[in-house]
Order: sequence, then C-alpha cells, then structure tokens
Amino acid sequence: MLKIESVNAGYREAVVLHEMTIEVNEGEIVTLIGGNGAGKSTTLMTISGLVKVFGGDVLFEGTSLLGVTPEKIVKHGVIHVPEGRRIFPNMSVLENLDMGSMLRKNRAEIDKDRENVFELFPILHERRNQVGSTLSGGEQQMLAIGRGLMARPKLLLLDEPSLGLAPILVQQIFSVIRKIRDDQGCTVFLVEQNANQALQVSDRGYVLATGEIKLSGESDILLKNEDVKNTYLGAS
Amino acid sequence: MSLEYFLQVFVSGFTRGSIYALIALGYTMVYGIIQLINFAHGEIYMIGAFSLLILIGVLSMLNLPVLALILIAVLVSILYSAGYGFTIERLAYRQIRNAQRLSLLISAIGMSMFLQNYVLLAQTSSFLYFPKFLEDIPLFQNTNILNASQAVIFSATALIMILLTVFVRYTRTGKAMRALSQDRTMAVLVGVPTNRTISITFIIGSITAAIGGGLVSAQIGQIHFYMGFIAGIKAFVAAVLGGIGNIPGAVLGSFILGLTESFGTTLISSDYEDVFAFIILILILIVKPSGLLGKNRSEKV
Repeated sequence: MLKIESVNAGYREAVVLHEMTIEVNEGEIVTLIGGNGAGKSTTLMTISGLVKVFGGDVLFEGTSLLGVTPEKIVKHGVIHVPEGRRIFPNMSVLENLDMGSMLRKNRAEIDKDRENVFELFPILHERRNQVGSTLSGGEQQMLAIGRGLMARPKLLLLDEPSLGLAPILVQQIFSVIRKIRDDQGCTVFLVEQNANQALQVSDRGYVLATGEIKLSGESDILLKNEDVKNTYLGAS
Repeated sequence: MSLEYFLQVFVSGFTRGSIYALIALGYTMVYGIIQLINFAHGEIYMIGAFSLLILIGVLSMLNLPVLALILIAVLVSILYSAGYGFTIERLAYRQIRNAQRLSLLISAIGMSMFLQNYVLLAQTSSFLYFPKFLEDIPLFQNTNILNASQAVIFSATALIMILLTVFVRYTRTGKAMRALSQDRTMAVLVGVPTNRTISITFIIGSITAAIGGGLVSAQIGQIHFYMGFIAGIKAFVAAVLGGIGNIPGAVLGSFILGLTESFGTTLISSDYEDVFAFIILILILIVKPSGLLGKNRSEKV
C-alpha cells in the first residue's frame, strides 16, 4: 500500500533521512521505532508532504506522492496524526472532529463516523462542547486520533501517540489502535519511542537510527532481538 | 454637557467606530491567518470609495432609476475592490509567505505606497466631490441625536458583523479559516486548502473595507487618494487595541477608538483629532500588548 523507496529527505541543507526503504501492506500495523532525533517524525512528514524529498520515491497505492500538495495527500486517504496532538485550541471537541472530515461531503456517513469515534472514546462525547485547550493530555490524544479517523483514512500515520500519557492510558490507546485496524480495516503506520508496547500491537517493525533503517522484521522477532532489547526495550 | 449633547457625541463616536470596525476586520482576519499586518488594506478602503464614485459617474449616463444605480454601483465597486484584495495577496504576499515576517511587512508597505500613487496619478491629487447619498436628516423630531446617515452606517455594520460571525462559525470555509489561524500545519494535515482559504480571507476583508469606504464617502461627501492611509492606521490601532487576530476584539477596539475620538475632539480640541488613536496605541502597547481580548501566546509543549 505504502512504499518508501530509498528516500533521502530533510530540511533545506540538512538531509535527515538516508536511503530509507519501508513498505507497509494493506491491513498491517507497522511500527517504526527509534530514539530521539532518529528521524521518526521526519519520516511521517515526508509521507504527508511536509518535508522536502531530495531523492527516491514515496508511493501510495502505486502512485507517487512526490510533489503532491499535503491537502491532496489527505484526499488520497493518508491521514497524519502528528506529534504533540495539535488539537485546534479554540475549537470545541465537536468542531475539532468536524475539521477531520473537512474534505468529505456525505453528511450521513460523517455522522456515523462521529458516533464511532464516540464509541471508541466515550470521554470525548462527554466533553464534546468543551474547548480543545481545556482537555487533558490523554483526552487530547484521543481527540487527535478521533479527528484522524473522521477522515476515513486508508492509511493512518500516528506519531508517538503514547508520549506523555499515564501507563493506563497508553494501554488504552494501543488497544484502540488495534481495534481501528481490526474493525475498520485501516492500515496503521506507527512511530514510537515506547518500543515494547508498540511492537506488541504491531505486525512488523523497522528500527531507525540517525536517519537510517538498521533493522526490520516481524514484531515478535524484533522483540527478541538482542540489539533491540538492549537499545530500545531496556534490557532486563 | 447636556444629555442630548452627550448622546449626540456618543452616537457620532459610534458611527466612527463602525467604520473603523469595517476596516479593522480585514486587518485582524489577515493577521490571524498569516501573521501579516497588511498595510495595503487601508488602500482597499480608498479604492472602494474611488471605484464607487467612478461607477456612479459612468452609470448615471444610463438613465437608470437612482436606487438601481446606487445598488449596481455599490455591488460592482465591492467586487472590484475584492479583486484588488485578491490580487494584492497573489502578487505581493503569496510568493514570500514563508519568508521572514519583515519581508512580508515591507512588501505590504510597498504595496500601500504603490496603490496610493497609482490612484494619485490615474485620478487626481485634489479632493473629489462625492454625492452625499447619506444625508444628515434627523430621524426623530426635535432632536439631533440620530440621523439617517448614522442609522444606515450602523445597520450596514451590524448586518455585516452578523453575517461574518455566522460565516466564520458555521461554514466550512469559516472553520478552515479558524483552523489556519490556530495551527497552520495541522490545518494542512486535515486537508484545509491553504491558498484558497487565504485568498477568501483577503476577499472578505476587502469587501468590508470597501463597504466602509463607500459609506464614509457618501456621508462626508468628498474623497481623496490619501484617505485610506490615516483610516487604515487608525483601524490598525483599533485591531491592536482589541487584540490583533481576534475578530470580536477588532470590533470592540474600533468602538472604543471611535468613542475616544468623538469625546476627545469635543472635550479637548478637534485639532487633536488624529492624536487620540496614537495615544491609545502607545498605552495599549505599554499596558497590555496582546490587546484587550487577545491572549498571551505561550508556546505549548
């Protein structure tokens, strides 16, 4: 579904990603793990068209996304839930969700998806008229994912959804990610520092360090890999 | 000061405030979306007035009924000015939108000077007579508190405010505008068409400014190529006073400025008419730089 082929990308003079190759198949949950500054967020921004690509190609369902404006990429069904949630601070929960379905027309389907989001995250329904900036971190993360789902994504890009959340919320978020894939057939490309839990919910994983893919494989195998254990899982 | 006199001054201040509000809306909306103080915005107000005068002149040769003539002229002049707003953004701002803010500001000042001088050369440097459609006929017997021209200006302003509020709150484009002003990157990531939304913002701001220009000219009865400069600066002060980027703030700031000027000129001296705006500007920058309704922007981690 998504193919990143030997991509070099970055900002102005600084090339962050080197010869990166990643593939995400339809219906998979794929995790990209790596430390701070490894280039995880840059990878997602490359896919959603926010970062300059110097070489290689990014293909979604066979068509190149290079040179396509970010808003057109959204139309293709590639939805990016960025790091730090980025809730519209002065909009209510309902309005934030509506922004997610910005490009859709069918009212009935939008209403149905909104109900779906409220089912996944009942707290959002309780807070529906509250302004975004007054939500807690966990609620904001739920809203960010909910807003992403309102676009009916084919491919959902999640950037560190567990960052800064209490352990119980982290678990909830990961189980929702699983549910989104299982119930809605939405493909998920997940970027995480919380490697352990991320690999547990995903099918496959890639390990990124200083802009290069160091390792890749089935999640179970990565979870047992000594290098991964020592560097990202905290050897025990 | 008798009550009647007080009310007269109050109403006249409110009228001024209405006009400032019509201009300030454009400043504040554009600032909200691209953090640019669009110094060419005052010129749109001036172009609105000039194009209206020219259109009235041309159309009056056609033997139309007066009401139809005014209506057509007003509509066409609004569209014409909106075209200017749209073009200014395309020519002077779009290419350098992501450059340093200073570049944008200089481009805006350049645009403002260009438009002033263009009208000066293409039209005239002297004051032009403008037909006084809005006459100062008192609306109530025995008192001068409210006259017809003021009533028209209030109702037009109120109507525009209501329409704009509904637009920004409930329409898709309105929401897109708010999203862009709150978080541009995130707006792009949900699929907000950035360029189109910014163009629409300029068009709306230009429409309200052109309406303001037409109303003022029809009340005062004369226009001048320089009229947009001082009105623009004052509307800018009003927008800063209310908190730039904040729409209700711009309206509030405009009314406060209008009333201050009105009472200031009556109680102190009309020689200082243009000074009050700048006193307010200095005070607000010292006491609360974010404006009355503006929020202090703090970076959230």
